[in-house]
Amino acid sequence: MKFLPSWMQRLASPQYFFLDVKVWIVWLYVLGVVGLLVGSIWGLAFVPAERLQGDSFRIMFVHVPVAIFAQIVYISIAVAGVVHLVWKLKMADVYMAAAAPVGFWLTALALGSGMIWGMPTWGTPWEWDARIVTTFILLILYLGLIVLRQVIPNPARATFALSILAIVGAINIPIIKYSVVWFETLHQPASIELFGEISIDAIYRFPLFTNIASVFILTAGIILANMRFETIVRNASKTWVRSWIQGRDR
Amino acid sequence: MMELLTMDGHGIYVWSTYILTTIVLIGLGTFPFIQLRRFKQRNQEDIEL
Repeated sequence: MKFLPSWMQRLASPQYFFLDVKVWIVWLYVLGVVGLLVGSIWGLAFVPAERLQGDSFRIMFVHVPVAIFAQIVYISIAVAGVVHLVWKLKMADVYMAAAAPVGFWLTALALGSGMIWGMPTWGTPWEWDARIVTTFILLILYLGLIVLRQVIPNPARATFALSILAIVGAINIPIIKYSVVWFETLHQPASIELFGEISIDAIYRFPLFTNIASVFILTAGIILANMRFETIVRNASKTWVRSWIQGRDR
Repeated sequence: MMELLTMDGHGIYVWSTYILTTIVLIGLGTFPFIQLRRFKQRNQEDIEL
């Protein structure tokens, strides 16, 4: 790991990670919350209603960002699984433990907001539709990642099983992405393509992209906060943790 | 103001989504700090014993 800059090498040490990352979390929380307030207020009060869906389209400013990051967090967990299997990096396991509950709740929010949006738009909160079903499978995969850690008593075996589940489960992500293309579905096709045209009117892009960026920043902050907790629990017997408990450290 | 709340009959859907999201994000954001504080308190008691 000598190719990494010194500040990154320092973060590989649990003690320095725990101490250094606190200030990052504060900034990520502040930026994420301010961004979400700006994007959401803008989307709720300062853009006109959509021509076909009326005001219910304003759910998009929450639904799209959480749905995007529900999938990105899963991909990042699968990458951490590969890193753990190949390099046995402890921080990769810490990341998997910290990110899984965040991904679970983002997926639950994506499904919940989609169901609420479905009521005025489709006339039903639930349909056995490819996009909805594959997103529900994502929720089950996250639940599997959380539960597996609890039920396998040997930590090394648990991490191995989690890594395999994360990597195998990642096949669901392209299926979610292309479900609206491959199958007959009620869900509208993607409006944002990374390398393609954006079919959303320019007036709606500011609040949507502000919320996408803010959910990214806040998600990063929450995962780091979870990693910080995981780090201290796993190092509970170390001297630096004892001095932190006794208030001799930050 | 009333228009913003009712949103032509869609207010219940839109506001419930934003309220639900706010509750979940506040929960997710505060939970690691609550756990950390509990961990510190529990271990402080152990050290004092």
